[in-house]
This record gives sequence, C-alpha cells and structure tokens, in this order.
Amino acid sequence: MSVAPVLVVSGRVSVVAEGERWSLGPVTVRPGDMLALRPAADRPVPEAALAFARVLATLASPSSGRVELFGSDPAALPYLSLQRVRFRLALVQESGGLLSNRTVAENVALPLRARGDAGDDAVEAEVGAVLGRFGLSDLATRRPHGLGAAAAFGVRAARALVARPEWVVVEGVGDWEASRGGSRSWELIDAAREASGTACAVCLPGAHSEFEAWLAGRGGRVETFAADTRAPGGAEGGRDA
Amino acid sequence: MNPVDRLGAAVLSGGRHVLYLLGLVYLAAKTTWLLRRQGRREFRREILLQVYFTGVQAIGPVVTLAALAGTVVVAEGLALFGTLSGAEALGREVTVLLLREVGPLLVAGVVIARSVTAIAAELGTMRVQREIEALEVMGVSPIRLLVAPRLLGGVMALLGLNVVFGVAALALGFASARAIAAIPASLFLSAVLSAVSAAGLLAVAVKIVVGGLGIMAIACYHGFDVRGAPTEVPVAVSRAALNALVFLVILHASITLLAFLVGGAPSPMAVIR
Repeated sequence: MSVAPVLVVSGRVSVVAEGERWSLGPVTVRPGDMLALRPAADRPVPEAALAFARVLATLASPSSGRVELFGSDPAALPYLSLQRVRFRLALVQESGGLLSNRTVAENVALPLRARGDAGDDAVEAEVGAVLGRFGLSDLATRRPHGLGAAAAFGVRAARALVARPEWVVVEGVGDWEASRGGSRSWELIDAAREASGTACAVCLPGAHSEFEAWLAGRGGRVETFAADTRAPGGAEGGRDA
Repeated sequence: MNPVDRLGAAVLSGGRHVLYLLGLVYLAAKTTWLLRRQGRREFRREILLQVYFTGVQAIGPVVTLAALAGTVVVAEGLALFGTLSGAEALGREVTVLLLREVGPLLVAGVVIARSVTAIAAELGTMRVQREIEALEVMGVSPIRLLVAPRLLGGVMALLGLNVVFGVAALALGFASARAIAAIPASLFLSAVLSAVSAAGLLAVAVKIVVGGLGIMAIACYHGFDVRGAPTEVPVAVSRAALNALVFLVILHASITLLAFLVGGAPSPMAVIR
C-alpha cells in the first residue's frame, strides 16, 4: 500500500521575489522524506527561498501552479479546514517569529496551549522534555530578545517539533555548525523524521555543500528552483493565503 | 487634482477605513465564537493582561484628571450658580458635564495616549518580527489571540476607568465645593442623583462601549497594517492615535447631539440655562 504524499507540486509552481519569477517542480514529498530547496543559479536568492518557504507553509499561494498539502490545496480551503492543515505542519523561521512578550517555555508551549487539547501538567511536561532535548532548559524563563542566534533557532525548532508535526518547513540552515558538521537542532529534526515520519523541507538561499552532503547521508535530496523567463506577475512572494 | 476630487477621494478613503474597522470587529466576534473551544486559557490571559495594562495601570492618571476636572467644574459652577442656593444646579452640572460628557472623553483620551499607541506599536513590531506569521502557521488565529482580547479587555478597562473617574470626580469635586463654600452633602448628592436618567446612562454606555471598540479596533488595524519595515511602526502609532482621537470626538459629538435632539438627556447648556 502506498503512503499518501504530504506535499505534491504538480507541474511547475512559481513565485515572484524582488521582481523576478522563480519556478519549481514537479515535486512529491512523502512521510519521512527530507529535501532541500535551493536556487539552481550560482548566486544566492534569499527572497525566492523565503517565498517558497511561505508557500510550502501555507502562508502564501504561488503566483501560478498548484501545491497540495495532505491532499488539498490550502489556498482553496475555508479557514477552519486550513487551520486543521496548519495543525499538522510547522515552520522554523530563519529570524524573528518568537513572541517577544513570552518566555522561551511559553513560546514553546504556545502550539499546544493554543489548540487547547492538552492539560496544563501535560503541556508543562512536554515542553520541559522538548527543552531538555534541545539543551535549552536553562533558558526556559528567558525572553527571546536575550537569546543568541543559535539559541533562538533552537527555540524555534523546539516550538516546531513540540506538537509532533507531519510536515516541517525550515528557512535556511539555522544553527548549523560547520566545525561540527551539524547541530543539535538538525539532529533532533532528523530524529523526528526517523521516529515519526515527519517530512521536512529546507529552503536554502543558495548552495550549501556541507548541509547537502549531510542531507544526502540521511537519504535526503535536493530540488532546485530556477529563474523563470516569463514576465513577472502576481504578488511579490506569492499571494497571501 | 481639483478640490472636489480631493474631497471625494478623502470621503472614499474614510469610508473604506470605516468598512475595514467594522470588518475587523466582525471578524473578531466571529473567530471568538467559532474558535471558542481552542486555547481558552491563552484567550483569558490576553484579556486579563489587556485589562491590567489599559485599566489598572491607568488608574493613577485617571484619578488625577478626575480631581482636576472635578475641581474646575465645581469652581466654575460655584462662580456661575452661587453657593448655597446653587447647590442643586451645581450637582446637576457635575453630573452632566463631568460624568456624561467630560469623563468618558478624558478617560478615552488617557486610553488613546497610553494603550492605543502601545497596541499599534506592539502589533506593528510583531508584524515586523514575523511573530504574527508564526502564529498563523501554528494554526493560531491572530484575530482571535491578539485582536479580540484587546477589544474586549479595552472595553472592560474603559468601563472600569469611567466608574473610577466618576467616583473620584464626584468625591474630589464635592471636597472642593466644601472647601470653597458650605455646600450640604445631602443636597449635593441628591442633585447629582436627580440628574441621572436612563437616557443619560444609555448615552454614556454607548460612548464607552462603541468608543472603546472603535479606538481599540483602530489601534489593531494600524498595527496590522505595518507591512514589514521597522520605519512603518512610528507612522502606524501616530496614525492610530490621531484617527482614534478624531473618531472619539465625532462619536461623542454625535451621541450628545442625538441625545439633545431626542430630548431624553439634557445637555450641559440646558442645565446652565
């Protein structure tokens, strides 16, 4: 029996970033898959990578083409159905994204609390365990503005994984350490993939040979998006969903 | 563009803004109802925080303003009506001017200066720092988690602050009256109470509730309107404060005029005459 795909990009989808149109596809992602999306061009194009990340995380619709997540087109869903799709995915942003008026622990607890399907004790236990795995227990009561870049990425990754998503979109390599050839966050994202079949897409602004080698070592693959020579159209970075 | 075109464009732009604001209030009510079982603890927490920031933290400035306004109105009233013989007119003047007209306007002014600006800045910064985007992708409705509690908490805080203002203005106004002239407490209080009418209370309630919803919606609207550049945040703050003030004055003037035309609530001029 074949496993239902998490993501299907049928044909080519395109986004517009900084006045240029970029297209990708076709792509199919199944549970447990890990892929990196990056430009085929030699130069880095962070805006295009960010635009594709927003499309894959249901925050925007592509300028053209169709993306299906869990069997449906997020752009065509009413809010409550879209919300159910979003409960199954997570986005790890490259910068910002942590609620500045909440502590690290409160940020990580937010996906669980906001859905209202777990008691306080269960949430606290889950958050404590996740922070422990990420080595962030000491920072639990700190506010995001007091965190370094690597720790902030760890908190964003912890918040993404705390609700056990089936689909994780990551903007950039985050706290990747070249000297170590990895990072705790990436080990834990990979562990979630192995343990629960979480599929993951990493949107890279440009080629990253070390990360791509690490990805290949875990059965992952690289998909490239290319500049589309058609005239730009649609909203910048895709239409807001 | 000729002046007529300019006027037309301004009217259309104003109308569009009003529609956006009504849409925001409607969306807040709708998402609060639709998602009522989700994240109730977070929702309650946000409301309580809003009541604390907008209401509790503003008690000091509101009491100070009430004391000053109460003293000024009483002093002017005594000069206008005389001392003992004018006690009843003075009590009515205090009720109508302070509690029905000046109080709600001053309290809302304090809330605009403190909370409307703060909310616009907070939400604008959240947009810039992609916090709202993070909430959306988590399946958390920013309208429900950020807008609805600010509308509800803001109105609750305004109701409370108006009560505080009323009590402080009456108490301190009467203390001033006693210090200036020997006004009997019973006469003063009975005059205050006799000026309270159902129509007057309704007018005050509409000013507080509609005014509170309006200024909080304006704050949220301008905060959410920030698109991504940090330089847009101060612009959003100043627009929110100015638009909230204009909305508030138009609302208060309209309600006072309507109450006067309907005849259910005496205007300050009617009292003085």
